[in-house]
Amino acid sequence: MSLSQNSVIARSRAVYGRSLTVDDISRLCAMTSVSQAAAFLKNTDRYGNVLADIEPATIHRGQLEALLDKAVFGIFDSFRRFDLTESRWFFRAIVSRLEAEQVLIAVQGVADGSTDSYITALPAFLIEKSGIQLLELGRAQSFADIGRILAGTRCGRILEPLLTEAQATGKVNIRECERRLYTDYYLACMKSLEKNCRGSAKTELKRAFLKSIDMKNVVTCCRMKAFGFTPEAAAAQMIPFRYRLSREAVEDLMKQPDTDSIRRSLEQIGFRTDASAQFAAVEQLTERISLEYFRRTMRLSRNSSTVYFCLIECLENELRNIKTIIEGIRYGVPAGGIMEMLVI
Amino acid sequence: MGIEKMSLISVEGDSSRIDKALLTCCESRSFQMTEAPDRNGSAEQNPWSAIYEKLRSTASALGMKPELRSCSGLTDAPPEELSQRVEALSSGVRAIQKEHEEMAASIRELRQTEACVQHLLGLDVSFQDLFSLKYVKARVGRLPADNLQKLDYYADRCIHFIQYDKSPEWVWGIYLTPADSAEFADALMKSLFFERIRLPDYLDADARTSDEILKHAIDDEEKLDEQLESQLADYRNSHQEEIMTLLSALKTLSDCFELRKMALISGGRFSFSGYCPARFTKQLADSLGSIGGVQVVIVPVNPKKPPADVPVKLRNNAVFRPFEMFVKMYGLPAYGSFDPTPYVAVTYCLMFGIMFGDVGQGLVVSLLGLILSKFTKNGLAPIMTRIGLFSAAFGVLYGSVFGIETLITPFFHRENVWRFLGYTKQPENIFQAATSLLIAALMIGIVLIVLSMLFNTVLNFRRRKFGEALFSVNGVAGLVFYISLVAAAVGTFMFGADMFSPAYVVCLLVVPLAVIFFKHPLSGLISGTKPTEKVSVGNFIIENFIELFEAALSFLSNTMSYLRIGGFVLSHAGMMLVVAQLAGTNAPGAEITAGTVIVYIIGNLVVMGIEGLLVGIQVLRLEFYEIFNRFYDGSGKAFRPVEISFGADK
Repeated sequence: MSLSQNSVIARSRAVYGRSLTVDDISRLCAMTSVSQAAAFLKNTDRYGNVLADIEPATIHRGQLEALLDKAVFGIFDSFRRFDLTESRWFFRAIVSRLEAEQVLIAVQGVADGSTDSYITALPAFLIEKSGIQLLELGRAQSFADIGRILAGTRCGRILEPLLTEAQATGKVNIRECERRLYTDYYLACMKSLEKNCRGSAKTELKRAFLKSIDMKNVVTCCRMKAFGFTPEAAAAQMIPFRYRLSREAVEDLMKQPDTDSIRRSLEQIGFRTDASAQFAAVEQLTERISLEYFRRTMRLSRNSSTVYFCLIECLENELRNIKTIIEGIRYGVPAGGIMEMLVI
Repeated sequence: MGIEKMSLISVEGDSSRIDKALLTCCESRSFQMTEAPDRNGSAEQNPWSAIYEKLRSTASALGMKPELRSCSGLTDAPPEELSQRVEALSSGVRAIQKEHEEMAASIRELRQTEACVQHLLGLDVSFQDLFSLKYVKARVGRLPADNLQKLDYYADRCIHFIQYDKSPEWVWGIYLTPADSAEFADALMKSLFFERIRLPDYLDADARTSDEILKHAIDDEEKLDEQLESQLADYRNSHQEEIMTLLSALKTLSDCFELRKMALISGGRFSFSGYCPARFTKQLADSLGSIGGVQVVIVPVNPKKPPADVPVKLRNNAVFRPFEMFVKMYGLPAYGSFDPTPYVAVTYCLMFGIMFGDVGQGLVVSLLGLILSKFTKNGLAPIMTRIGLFSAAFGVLYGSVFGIETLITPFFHRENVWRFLGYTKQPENIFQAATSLLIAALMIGIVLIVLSMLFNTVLNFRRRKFGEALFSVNGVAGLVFYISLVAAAVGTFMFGADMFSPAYVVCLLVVPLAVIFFKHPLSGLISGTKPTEKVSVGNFIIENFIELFEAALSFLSNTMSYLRIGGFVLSHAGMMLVVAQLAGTNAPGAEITAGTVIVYIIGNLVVMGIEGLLVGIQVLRLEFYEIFNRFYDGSGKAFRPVEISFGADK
């Protein structure tokens, strides 16, 4: 193992060590205003720097969330500068996923005629890191404008036929846009993984990556079922990579009436979680399964790429939790109710 | 010396006397209460806690740190009277405090406004002119720097932002918008997280003048605030004694009431019990007896069969007492067992002295310890005083004063000593005698290991654990094996006598190992007990073989661990050699200059700081891992007498 690998592992674990504890999260849930939550987060190791200049009493919830996004993105960026090899292609992957999200918002904005919301929601930290003219996308008034701005980019190539069709018909198939963009994102990730990793490191990272895709596919499959799709139609909407989620497993999952039975089905194919935990929705179940796997792998793995990948997933989970808490506080949900919605 | 003998005290009496009885126990500072099995004294709400909290917050507002005062007269006063006195004291403070808080908030607000205005110093138009425009609306504030680039997108939406100052995170400025678009512009800028700063109406001049106005306003308010603070200080000075006495009384009453939770109160009677060091029982019983209507029963704790909850209090003389800290750190001894503090004190001082032997440095460490003991309550300070003296004593033996080895003649500089050790002439420095030094370190280790095993054997005999005493690794079997192995190794390798004869090996090495291997069945045979669970022969062999292997390995590793004693002697000499080299005094006839003295002082300070700390830690490691492991289990519970203390409330 190289020195660089060791240092990435050590740094990843050190960054993970600064995560909010369950005690912190309970205290955060018990807060009664966004200002209190902001003041609390301002005093944490992870978010203290980026929130140093804010005035908790007056901060807007959207701004707080944007700053938290910025803090986590800053961690990924610092890894890119710290490690010149592995973290770079991970960073590119993160940027391209965020780009895909922004392109989808822009397309949706044109479809709804609400282009202003794109600009206000656009994460400013992404603008200079992106190969797409994200600010220009905000000026797009038609699908043709979007096609022109995206011309020459990967997203542009993928969306070109759909945008042309949308321009002609005036309607866009947003779900297909999403599927194509994310499928391409995962394909690119797999390609990078094949190119940049070797031996057991590749096997281990691939396993972690495919397990996380399996969990995302479980959610897609359950949502498709709710809309009355057949297993074949659901499979067509899934990310085209599998670890344990075979055709039979998908069929079995689509037969399950509730989260508990989905959980039992998943246990049969080796995806287990804490037996005592209760889950309100299938998303919570799959995220919990993933999170437990990432935490375990991060502690035990000696492979820097896998450890870093698990860190990314854990940080994003923490961010989702904090946003859920802030939203819960904003709408006056009791602490116990917020805790039930979290993946911890 | 050793473990304080304890007695179990049961107190009973009329329930009206419970607070008095509990207070007497608290004041004695020698009574640890135990929870009554059917305790029910917690049903009532503590009537004192609210009054106490009120006065405590008043004291805190006055900047007073709670200190316990004599309050015997007040504890008998009725709650109403105490409540009235607290209210009178608190209300006097409340008015000033409220005014002070409002003033502080106002100053804080002014400072915030001033900070904002300072970001707008480039603005040379008066705020009044700016805000009274009829067709254009102006908004002052700050925008997240990230969002500044997004403003280009709204260039055609009648919003003109003028930037006056910026930091990495924020941009300060003014945006102007036509009056009829103001609502849209405000909503849009809000969506970009523009934080509007609302300036007070009296700021009607330009930014620079407004800044001056604000500065004056802050100065004025600060002066007023100082006056309020001095009023609070006057109040504090005139009422300090009264507040502290009342606070102590309320704390006493409140804490005593809380202790009721551990008592049994039924049918107009109360009962509670606890442990008290035997030498204080009579005094405590007399005090409790003097209350009237309270009966006390004293039962001495049998050290051979003590109850599980009996606490442990160490009792050592002034010389050994500081080393109790190390024993407590590891865990207190169980009641009725053996207090290793004197043993720790002697071995710790000896090992530290050997490893850090220097007259000058030792005396400095000792002096530092003495000074720290005077001015702080740091538990390490008195230990430093003692180990420093041992360090100085060994320094005399080594002939080292602040690393200079020519000032005094070492005690061991005798030809016959070195001849006995196999040297033809006396070595010029310690490095030439490194092998002998390391062997000596091993010998110290062997003696300490044997002593620890002897302790274990004797203690187990006293506890009537004959199996452990006879057949365990740290019992007679292990002792025979270890001493025989060491004797044979020394005889063979140092004196050339081949002691590993078959009879010797079988009788003194193999047989003890076999005894250790069969410890469990042999122990069962002696005690007449049968094993609780059945173990297959294969499992028995594997388990005991691994244990035996580990034990044999631990003898080797534990002995080798003591090499560090010699290692640190060499390291100390090496470090001082470096200091001498840096000072340029190791060459014959070197001159002593001011630079030499400075280098020596700094060098000695560094060596004392780094090596003194390292040696202290290493010796503690030897104590805990190599010595304590063989005979000591810190399973005792500390004696915590009930007492009235502000502790956490400070």
